[in-house]
Amino acid sequence: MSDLTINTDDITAALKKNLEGFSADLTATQVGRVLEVGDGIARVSGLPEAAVNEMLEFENGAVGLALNLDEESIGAVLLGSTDGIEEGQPVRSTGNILSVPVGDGVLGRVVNSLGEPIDGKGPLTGVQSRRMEVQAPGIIGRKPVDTPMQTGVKAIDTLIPIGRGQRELIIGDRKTGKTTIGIDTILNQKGLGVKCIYVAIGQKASTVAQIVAELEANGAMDYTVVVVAPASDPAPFKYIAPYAGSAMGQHWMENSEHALVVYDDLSKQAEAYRQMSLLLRRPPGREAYPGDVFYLHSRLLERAANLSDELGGGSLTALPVIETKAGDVSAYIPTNVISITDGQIFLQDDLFKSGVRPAIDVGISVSRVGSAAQIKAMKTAVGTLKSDLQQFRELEAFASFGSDLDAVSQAQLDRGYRLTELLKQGISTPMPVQEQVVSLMAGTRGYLDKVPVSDVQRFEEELLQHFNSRHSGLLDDIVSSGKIADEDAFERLIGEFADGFQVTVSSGAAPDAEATGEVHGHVVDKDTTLPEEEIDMDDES
Amino acid sequence: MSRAHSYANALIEIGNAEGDTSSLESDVHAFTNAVAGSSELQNKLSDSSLPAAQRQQIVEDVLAGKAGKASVAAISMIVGAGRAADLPEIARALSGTLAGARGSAYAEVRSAVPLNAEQVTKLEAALAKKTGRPVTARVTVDPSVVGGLVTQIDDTVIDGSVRRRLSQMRETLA
Repeated sequence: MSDLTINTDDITAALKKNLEGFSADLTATQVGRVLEVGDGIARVSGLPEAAVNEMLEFENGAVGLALNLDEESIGAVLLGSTDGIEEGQPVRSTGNILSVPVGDGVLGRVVNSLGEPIDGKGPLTGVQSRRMEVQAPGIIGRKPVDTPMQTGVKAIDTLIPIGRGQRELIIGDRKTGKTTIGIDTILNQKGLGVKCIYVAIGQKASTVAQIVAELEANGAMDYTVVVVAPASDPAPFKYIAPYAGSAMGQHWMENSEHALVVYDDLSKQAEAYRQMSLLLRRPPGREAYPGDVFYLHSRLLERAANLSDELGGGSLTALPVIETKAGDVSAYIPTNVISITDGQIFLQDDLFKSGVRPAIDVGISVSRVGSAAQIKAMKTAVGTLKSDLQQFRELEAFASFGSDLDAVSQAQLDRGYRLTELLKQGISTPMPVQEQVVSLMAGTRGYLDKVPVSDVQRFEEELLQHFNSRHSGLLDDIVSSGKIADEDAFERLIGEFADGFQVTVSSGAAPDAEATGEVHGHVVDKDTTLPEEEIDMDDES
Repeated sequence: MSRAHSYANALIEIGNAEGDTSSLESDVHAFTNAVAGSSELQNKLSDSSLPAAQRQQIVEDVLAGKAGKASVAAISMIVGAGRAADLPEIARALSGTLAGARGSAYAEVRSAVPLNAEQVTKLEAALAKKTGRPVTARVTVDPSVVGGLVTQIDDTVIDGSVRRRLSQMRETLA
């Protein structure tokens, strides 16, 4: 035996110290009884004072969420296991309304829908509690969108600009790169002071693990929290996950900070809510969704806002993701969310397959408020890009019949191919706004017209290198002032670079105009696009 | 309305027809306590593989000569319907409804040791002060309470037991 002796006095002292401030309180609590349980739903009698969204405590330690308050009973969804819950067991009301931990302590963490850490890094520190369901800021508390939310995706920042406090829907079929846009946007917030929340709803746990690894590898977890309700979680977790993410974002917004939340994706949340509603025996409506499925999403997305200066001027930008089936945007949930948001980014399957990545259909994608927030330099560089591309689309369809074109149309067509090529971008390579300005300016002002389509990406790369090494002052100027000080001089610099650009000498004859029409086929094989396994990874949206 | 309340109301109807609800009430409670005290009786009465007639016979044998005819018939009906497990709930609902009709409240008190009449009167007075209604308390002995009292009035539970204080302490130390 060792010399270690512990006498009872030490034990008593230790216990006393730990129990300091402990007083056995005598409070009256409400107790109900389980009437029936099944499918993750419990019907509870009694508890006349329970409130909607109040947490109920079951005998086995599970927590239930009181959703249906009927005359004689309460319909509660169980957050956790139904094992061990039996008819007749007592149910206690806790008086706590559903809440989550918020604050800077959640950054860098992966949490579940209740805000409990699931990344094995110990308990959260430096957090406070906040109700999950809060009313959105009113009209007086908001101001128009005035600051750009740089996504780092060329096609978005130029043509569908998003502002802080905006709600921009990302919509498209499966495997079209929806998640990639959300993740790229988060990566691009590095150093911009925007705190990010990525809410993964109903996704495969392996996919979420990959996304977290991706964020970590790019140093984005420092300012990001990931809220996960994977496919294996019960429906109530998937239902509350977006509200948890939103509550975290609202906390920052109300503390004069800027936050970005990506809900990936809300179709799965709607499906989880449909499951719960049907099991709670609420009447089904269109596509068997309950009557309040619109309110489900509208109250969530309304919580994104650009707060007025009186309220601190913080903002919460929301990027909800919706998955369509076979491009059907007229289904119930897509139409609902399209009508709530301030614009949408459409991703097209056929564009994706033809090598245009990100596969954004710039023709039908819109941003209703973001152009007000676009910086002046970008507006100058973009010019008539959108209408040029639209005309190009029409011409391209026409030219594919093989008819002869006049010189003007041919020039438009050539410009279109190059602009389309210019807007392509790899995954996890967000481009800062000043580089986008240079690159876009080269395209819209016609400096790419003499460059073969297959050389466009190399041209862009070298042009940006040239500017970064020789004229970094000009780039910094764009960042600080938001505009190009001397447009003509700027354009002249691009022109000088274009004159000195060495076109790749192909073995055969220079491609003629018609051959360039098939350029998409080449590009897929180029090393600038992604290897197959990465493609699989990036578009698991 | 919960199932227990429906049965309780039916029992009150029977009591009213017989003109004596109070003896019915005490008989139901006595039988419920007897069942709670004997696990064998509890198992037999809730065993749905036994024919209903046999279960009812057990009730009649247990109560023979001790309870009124109406009480025996009523309890036998409940057991025959396979609701023996609901008896505590039904007894509570019965007393609650009867007390409500008298303008008072019914308190079910669980204590580790039997309380004497003076203690019960003091408890009833304290509870009446808290609820603002006269309170009738019925005390059952439950050793799992360890010490102190657990009082339930309708859906409200006032848990002043040593068991709860111990579990609170355990949570604080955890």
